[in-house]
Amino acid sequence: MLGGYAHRIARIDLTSGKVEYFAPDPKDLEMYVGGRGLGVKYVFENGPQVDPLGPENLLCIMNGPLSGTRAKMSGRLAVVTKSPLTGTVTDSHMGGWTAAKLKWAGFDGLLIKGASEKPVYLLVKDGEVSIHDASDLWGKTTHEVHRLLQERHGKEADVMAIGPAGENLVRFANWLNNDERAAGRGGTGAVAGSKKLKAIVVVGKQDKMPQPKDPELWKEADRLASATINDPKNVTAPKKGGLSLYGTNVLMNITNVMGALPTYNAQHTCIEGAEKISGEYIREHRLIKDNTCHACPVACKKMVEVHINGKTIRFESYEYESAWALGAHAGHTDTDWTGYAIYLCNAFGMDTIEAGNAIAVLMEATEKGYYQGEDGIRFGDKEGEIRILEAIAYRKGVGDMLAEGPARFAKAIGHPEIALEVKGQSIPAYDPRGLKGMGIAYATSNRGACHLRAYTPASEILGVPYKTDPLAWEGKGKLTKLFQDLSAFTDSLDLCKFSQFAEGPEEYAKQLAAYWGRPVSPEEILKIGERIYNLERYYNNLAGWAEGSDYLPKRFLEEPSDCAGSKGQRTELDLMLEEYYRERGWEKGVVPPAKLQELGILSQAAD
Amino acid sequence: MPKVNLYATFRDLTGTSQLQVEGRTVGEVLANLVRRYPQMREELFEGEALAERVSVFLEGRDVRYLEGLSTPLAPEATLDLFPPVAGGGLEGRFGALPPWLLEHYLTEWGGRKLADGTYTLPGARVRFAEAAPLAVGSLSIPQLWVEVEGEEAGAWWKRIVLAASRGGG
Repeated sequence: MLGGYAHRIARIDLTSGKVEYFAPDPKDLEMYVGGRGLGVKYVFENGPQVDPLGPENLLCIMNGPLSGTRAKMSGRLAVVTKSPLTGTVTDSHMGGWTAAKLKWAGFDGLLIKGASEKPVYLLVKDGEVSIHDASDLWGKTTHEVHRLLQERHGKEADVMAIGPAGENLVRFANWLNNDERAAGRGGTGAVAGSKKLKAIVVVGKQDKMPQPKDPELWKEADRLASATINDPKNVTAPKKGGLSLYGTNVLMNITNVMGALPTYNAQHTCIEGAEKISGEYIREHRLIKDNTCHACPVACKKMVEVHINGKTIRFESYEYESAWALGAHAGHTDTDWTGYAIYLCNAFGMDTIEAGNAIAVLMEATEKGYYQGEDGIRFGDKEGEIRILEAIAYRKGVGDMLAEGPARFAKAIGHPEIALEVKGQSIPAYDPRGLKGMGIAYATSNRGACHLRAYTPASEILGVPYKTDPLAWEGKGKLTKLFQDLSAFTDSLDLCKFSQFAEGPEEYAKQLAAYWGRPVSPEEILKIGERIYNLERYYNNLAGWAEGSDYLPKRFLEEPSDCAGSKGQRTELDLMLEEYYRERGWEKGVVPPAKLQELGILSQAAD
Repeated sequence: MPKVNLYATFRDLTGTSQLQVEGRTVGEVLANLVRRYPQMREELFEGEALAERVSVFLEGRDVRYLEGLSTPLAPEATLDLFPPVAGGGLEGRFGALPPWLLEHYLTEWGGRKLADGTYTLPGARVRFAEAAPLAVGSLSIPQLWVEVEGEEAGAWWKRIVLAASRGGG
């Protein structure tokens, strides 16, 4: 039996109220590991034709074989389902302690189906899952739900919740745990809302921590992983490395200087005053505390305070993507209003990236006269932005249209070209005219535009694992495939993406081998990642995202960048796609049967 | 005055690994370097152009992606000069791969450390050196220059590239 697992998954039917338990198939564990990979396998088996907001959609809450162990940076939890935003399979991950506590509570995952008639929450404790009435919690913000459920179940209880946005089926509603850690993208909170599932409470104690099958190998694997993460020269080094000191937002000034920061709905590629919403500025002027997640020495989370209309609001976290989406993308760099917008998105339970794009699209539509409603807002209107965020969460006025996602909104007003989306999901904070690799990464991401499937800025900005020119398209298809496969694997362990700034396949293989109790090679790591990426693509192909689905918004292909660092650049998508498909062995975005067989997907699917 | 880091055989040719050279552009610095070490001319230039096989990095960026020899240099700039690799060998730079970790891999794969700090593996020899870190905004990313020579260089290079694979997010 492979080590690292609880060997127990709960299948919860919210229609009937029935809970069943099963041990995951060992073959599935070896092929898909856990977290994202195993979740995708179950969503695939549930069928690609389901209505994402119907009771038949499957919502998977998954941890991995290293969750709840002392493996460094192992605090991530995967939420996997069919996305109501894109219609693709999607996975979104949150930090904190939920993943660890879920393991300690006796589970590798929760598979939730059906829909309750009245609001409910789940209590996960001592190897059992029970369903409880949540009528008194319905309508409350994520912060209120966390407080109330911790009062009820104790401070040690871990709470993940949806907010009003999830209840109102905002297609980019998310899950929040530990108050501010978000499984942000793809609308997994709306799937929960459609099932009337308000929260999950997990109670688990560390004495249930799984032990490695090979303790000697574990000592060596943990020593190496810890040493490279803590190496004082690495960006992950606690209290020394840039990611530890400033968090993700260390990038704001960098991308701005490179002309790789999409601003004013990507009509520009930099913004004056970016410093005011940067990690450096926040550290100096707004930081309260460096918070962390389970088993993480990096502590990239930043507890901050902002001041609005005489009120002080404390929250976590002033992330790069959020600060960009709700600040620079909306045409301002106001430290406090941007922070307040982040705080509100978290309270309502909405993806900050998609919400920021919704705001930016409305602003461009208003300024160009494409939207003429009274509630239209213009770039830089900070108070208007706050009004619209609330309108989205509660589906009021234009907020009701925007709650369907910026892509659907832009199409509805007859100007789909102003939505910066791929497969219905909006772009994050990197302009692919200044970072060409992001262009191919966005286009070929299986969950719609995303920076976390293949983080090419690692190479293009940071020289990891090797430096590439951000303005060159050559080699970016190959780089993207490597990153996609590696990330599909680490998302299945489920380790933080930041671990990849210090660890590679050798370190991951050793840690997994010590827990599994059988040899694992670095080549197997990448093969597993490739299998997961292909299974996701196969699902999407069957769900209707076939040939021609890997595209970019026209703006990046036709309108040149206007800022220093990338001035005059456009994204050469076709050239990169050709290289990428060759590396993948795909036919115009479609996985051929031979590839499915090679990776063991097709024979297993046919079993 | 710009600083120049030299690697591998460039160190043998000049007898130094680091020096300061005057110049306001990459071309001026290299011309002044050649004035001081004439033996470097045929290593660095093909006619008046930068030799195809040489790698010249300014703060981690290959100057070919900047303005080539015309790339302007600040007085505090650092140039890294890497020689071509002879005998079918392979070389490159890896970010976030500490030298002690590479040494760990090489030892685990059966490598033997020689007195000059290089490693021998079956059919190959591996040399490495810490290059100037890549400084980007408030971030600094360590860079390791690695060279593999010998009949089996290709296979070992592939192994090192796999081990050095990193990403991020």
